[in-house]
Amino acid sequence: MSPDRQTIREDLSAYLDGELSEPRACEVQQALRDDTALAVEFEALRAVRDRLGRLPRASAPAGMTQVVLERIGRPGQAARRDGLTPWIGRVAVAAGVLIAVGIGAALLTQMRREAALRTDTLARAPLPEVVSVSDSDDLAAADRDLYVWRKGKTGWAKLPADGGPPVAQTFDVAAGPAKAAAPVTNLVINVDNASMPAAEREVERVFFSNGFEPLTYEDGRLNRLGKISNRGVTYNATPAEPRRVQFQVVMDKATFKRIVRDLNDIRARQDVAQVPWAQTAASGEQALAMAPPGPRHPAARRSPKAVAAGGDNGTMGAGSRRAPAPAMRPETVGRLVQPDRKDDRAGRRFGGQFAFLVDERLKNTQFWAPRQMPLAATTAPTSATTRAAETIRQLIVILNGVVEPPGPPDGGVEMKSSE
Amino acid sequence: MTEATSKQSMEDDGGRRTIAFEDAALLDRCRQGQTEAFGGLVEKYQDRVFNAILRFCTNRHDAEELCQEAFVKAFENLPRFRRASGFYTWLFRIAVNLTISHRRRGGRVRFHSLDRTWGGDEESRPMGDLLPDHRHGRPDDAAQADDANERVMKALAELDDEFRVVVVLRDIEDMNYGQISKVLDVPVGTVKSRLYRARCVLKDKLRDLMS
Repeated sequence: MSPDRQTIREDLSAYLDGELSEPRACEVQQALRDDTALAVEFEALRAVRDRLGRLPRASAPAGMTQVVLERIGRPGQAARRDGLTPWIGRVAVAAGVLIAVGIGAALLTQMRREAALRTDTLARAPLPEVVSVSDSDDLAAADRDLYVWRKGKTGWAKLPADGGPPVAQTFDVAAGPAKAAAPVTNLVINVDNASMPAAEREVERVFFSNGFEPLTYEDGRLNRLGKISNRGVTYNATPAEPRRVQFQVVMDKATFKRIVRDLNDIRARQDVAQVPWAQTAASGEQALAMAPPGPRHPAARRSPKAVAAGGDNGTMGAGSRRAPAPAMRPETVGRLVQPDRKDDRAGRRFGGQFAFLVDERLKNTQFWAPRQMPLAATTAPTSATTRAAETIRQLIVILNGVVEPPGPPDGGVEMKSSE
Repeated sequence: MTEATSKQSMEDDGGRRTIAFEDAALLDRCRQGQTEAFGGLVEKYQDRVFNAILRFCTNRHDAEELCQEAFVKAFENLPRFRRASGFYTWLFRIAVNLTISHRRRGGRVRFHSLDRTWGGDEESRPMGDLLPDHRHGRPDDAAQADDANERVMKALAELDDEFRVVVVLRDIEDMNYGQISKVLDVPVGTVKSRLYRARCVLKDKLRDLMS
């Protein structure tokens, strides 16, 4: 056998596993085409590998977690290095000794259950309408929203930059005055299609590392925001749409700043433009805010009516001065189309218009369909260097920095509805 | 590796990154003294570790004990875990080393029939316990599959340890060569050659089965 053929043979296994470099893989591939005996051997190796992969998988015995936790929880019990030991743990379990499962094990089970629910069931509750986005690292200067507690229902209110009275912009109108509970900062992280799961996990890890545990999926789905703990114990993650996940968490001020810093770091590492967006209550459509030039896009502070009217710098409330909205640059707007097909998934239909924004400075392309699943591109990206997938997803992180324990609070600021 | 390809490999490895973040969060909590968070890691990996050890040492009782020991040892050594390889790979390294040590101390390969226990030990279980239980009304093809599985496991058990472990980690636990290299602390080239030789031996032993 020639040395070349022998080395090819020895690489058959690695070729099967996809572990060869591309040039070497091409050489092996060619050899397999030219040499029937090699091809037969290759198929035999493949059969062996596949057969091994079909072996039934054994599960760890029940109670393994409890036994391990008991051993690591007891000094001396953990340090067993004399080889096999009698099954003291098994006897103890069999004798009916109750061992605490551990928060970690229960939490992971819960997270797995929630993950299964998340992939199988779309949340039915609508997302709270986000009034504004804060891109500023300087929280003191950020134009903050207020978390409104009104007769047990939640809503969002805007604290105008001119110091005027806060104006409520709620999605559930309730009679009577509302009272401010705590300041809120919203952070929107745009991610490209492929990075959504990783980015979502990164965000959750920020919460997890700071001691927050996820609210149950069902509570989040039913919008039981009141169950989010003001002691910084739980957070809510709601996958309201397959392409949008909203997080909400209540925490103390110190944690607030730390987490915002970490989330901004995640945001800065995303590969798509972080253009803030605003929502118009009047039309129910979302409009992309046109960001002025600069490495970071400042917050788009607009009232819905001002956007609908064609201009506002984001302040709200009676008597506030309204600056015209920046004009949409022709080079940044693609086609506005009316989708002509229906989407029966989850009973929703595509409708309305979507804008196709190209930000040549950032070499990214993104577009967003109002309240619907993002649509595929109908116009080829103008930037050859774009890495984003054709659809953009969003992580909306709503952080409530708790100044005082939430309500229903006494006193506070009287709110006026904008409607 | 350029940044672009690095990023691409990270995206391709998105699943593993997702897992890594979950592990990192649990490990952070362990390091903060929340021992019970380690239970989450046990819960997550116990089946995979147990299955790998069982395929390697072929004795269920030993596998249970070794699996437990692996987790305990991992917990004890958490302060030394550097996260360069990922918790999953590091844990498997501990498990494999424990199993190899155990076998060197005198663990022997035993061959069982489907119907017989060995050694007269009341806590022993027949090899059939390792296979799905189709005793009631099982179809003929399931019976044949059980026989075939037994033959495959027997052939696997007859391999030398250094060859059996690479087969288990690659073909049963679906690790890539890089991960196996870290688990076994051998070069990737060694993983490649051992795996090839192991598969050749199995190919010869199971020739009639494969045909």
